[in-house]
Amino acid sequence: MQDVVIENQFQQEVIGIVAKSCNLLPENIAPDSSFESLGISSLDALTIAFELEERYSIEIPDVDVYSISDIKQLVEGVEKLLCTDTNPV
Amino acid sequence: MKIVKTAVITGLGCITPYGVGVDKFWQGISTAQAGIHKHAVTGIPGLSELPLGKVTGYRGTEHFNDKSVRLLDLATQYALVSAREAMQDAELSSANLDPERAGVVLGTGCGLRETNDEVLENFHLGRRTVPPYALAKGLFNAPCSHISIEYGIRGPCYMVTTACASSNHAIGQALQLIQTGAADIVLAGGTEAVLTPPFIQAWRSMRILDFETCRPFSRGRQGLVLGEGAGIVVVEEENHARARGAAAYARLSGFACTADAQDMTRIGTLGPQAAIKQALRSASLNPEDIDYVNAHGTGTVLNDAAETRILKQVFGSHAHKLKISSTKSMHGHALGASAALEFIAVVKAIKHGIIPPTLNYEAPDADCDLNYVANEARTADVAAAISNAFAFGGLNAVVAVTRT
Repeated sequence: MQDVVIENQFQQEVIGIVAKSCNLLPENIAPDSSFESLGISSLDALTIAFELEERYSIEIPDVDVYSISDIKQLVEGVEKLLCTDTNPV
Repeated sequence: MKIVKTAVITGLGCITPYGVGVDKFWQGISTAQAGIHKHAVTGIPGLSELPLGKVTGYRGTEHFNDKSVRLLDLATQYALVSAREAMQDAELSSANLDPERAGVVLGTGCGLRETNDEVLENFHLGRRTVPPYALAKGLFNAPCSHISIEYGIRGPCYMVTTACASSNHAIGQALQLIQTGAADIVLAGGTEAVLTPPFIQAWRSMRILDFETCRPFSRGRQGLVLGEGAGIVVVEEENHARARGAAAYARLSGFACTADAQDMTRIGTLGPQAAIKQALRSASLNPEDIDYVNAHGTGTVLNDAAETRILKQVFGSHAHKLKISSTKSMHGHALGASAALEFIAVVKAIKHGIIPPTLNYEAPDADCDLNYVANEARTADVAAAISNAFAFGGLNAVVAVTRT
C-alpha cells in the first residue's frame, strides 16, 4: 500500500515538472496522457528532459528524449534511471 | 505559346573541410575521404573535443588585405572566395557581365555568428563600446552585399534563411529568377561559419549530435556532425550561356519548397513528400527518371528513418533502384551552406558519372532499407538527380538536376 502511495507521489511530481515545463495545469495531465494530446512539441520534450535531469541528477539518453511519447513512458523511464543510477540524489 | 526559360550551371565554387576549391572538395568526396575530424573545443563544460566538418587550411589574409579581413565576417569571406571561384570557372567577370541582368541569392541558416557572438561577449564582459564596423559586418545580408559590390551586380540580390534548407531555397530562387526573365545570371548558394562555443552548446542541448562521427542511414547512428563552409554556383539562362560559349555542367531543371506546419524540430511526412513530388513535376520528370538522390541524411535516428519512408512513399518500387547517399557523412552538416555543397556534389556526380558515398556506414538498420551507396563511391550513369533539404522549423526544399 505504501509503495502505491510513493509511486503516485512520484508520478505526480513528474507530472508537476511536465506541467511547469509546458505551461500546463497538472490537473489536466493524466497518467496515461499522450504528449500529442497535451500538445507537447519536440522542443517541449527537450525542456521536460532538461528539467527532469536537473531535478533528479540523472542523464536521459538522447534517443529516449525523442522516442518517449506519453506520461506513462516518461515516469517509467525516469524511475528506471533512478534505480540504475549509481549516485542518485 | 509561352516559352519558359531554362537554366544551366556554368560555374562552381566552394570552401569545405577539404580546403579551398571545388577540386579539393570533389577529390575528397569522390574518393570517400573523411572531411570530418575530431577537433579540440574550449569553453564548453564537459566537452574537450568534438567531431566537426571544420574548414582547415584557410587563411583570410591569403584572399583579402589586412584591412578588409577585419571588416568581413568569416561567413562573408567564405562566400566571397567561393563566388570568385565560381565566377572564374564560368569565365565571368565584371567586364563581361550586364550588371542589371545579374543577381546574387544566398542562404545562411544561422547568420554571421562569429561577429555577433564576439560583440555580445565583449559587451557583456564589461566593454560597453561596440566597434563602428560591427553592425555592417554582422548583417545577415553582408555575404550577398559584398559579392554584389565586388562585381558591380545590380540585379536581384538577397539572402534567404530557412535553417538547413537555406541554400536549396536560394538555388531554387535563382532558377525562378531565370525562368521569369528577371535575370540572366544568378550567383546562388549558401555560407555558414558558426562553430563557436555557444552555438555548439546550443546544438548539444538539442541532443542530436554524434560525438564519434556521422553515419547516416546506418545502424548505430547517433546524430549529426556540425560543419561549415560555403558553396556558390553560377545559374545561367541556357541561351545566354550558349550565346557566350560557356560550358554547362548540368541543367537546373526543377525546384519546389513546402512547409510541414507541424513541429519545430521533428521532420514531417507530408511536407517533404510534396516537395519531392512538386520538384519532379516542375522538372517534367517522372519518379523512375531519377538515378541519384543526395539525401538530407543528417545521421539522426529520426530523420534518416523518416526520409527513407518518404522516399518509398514518393518513388514506390523505384525507391529500391535509387542510388542514395548522404555526403554529410563526409563534409558534415554545414547547415545553411550544406545544400549548396550537396548541390555541387550532385552536379559533379552527373558530370563525372561518379556517385559520392555515404561514409561510416556500418550495418543495415531495420528502418533504413534502401541503397545508400555505402562507404565507397560508385561509378554510375546519372542522367537525373534530386537533392533534398528538410530544415528545422519544417521547411523543405528540393532541387532537380539533369544532364544537359
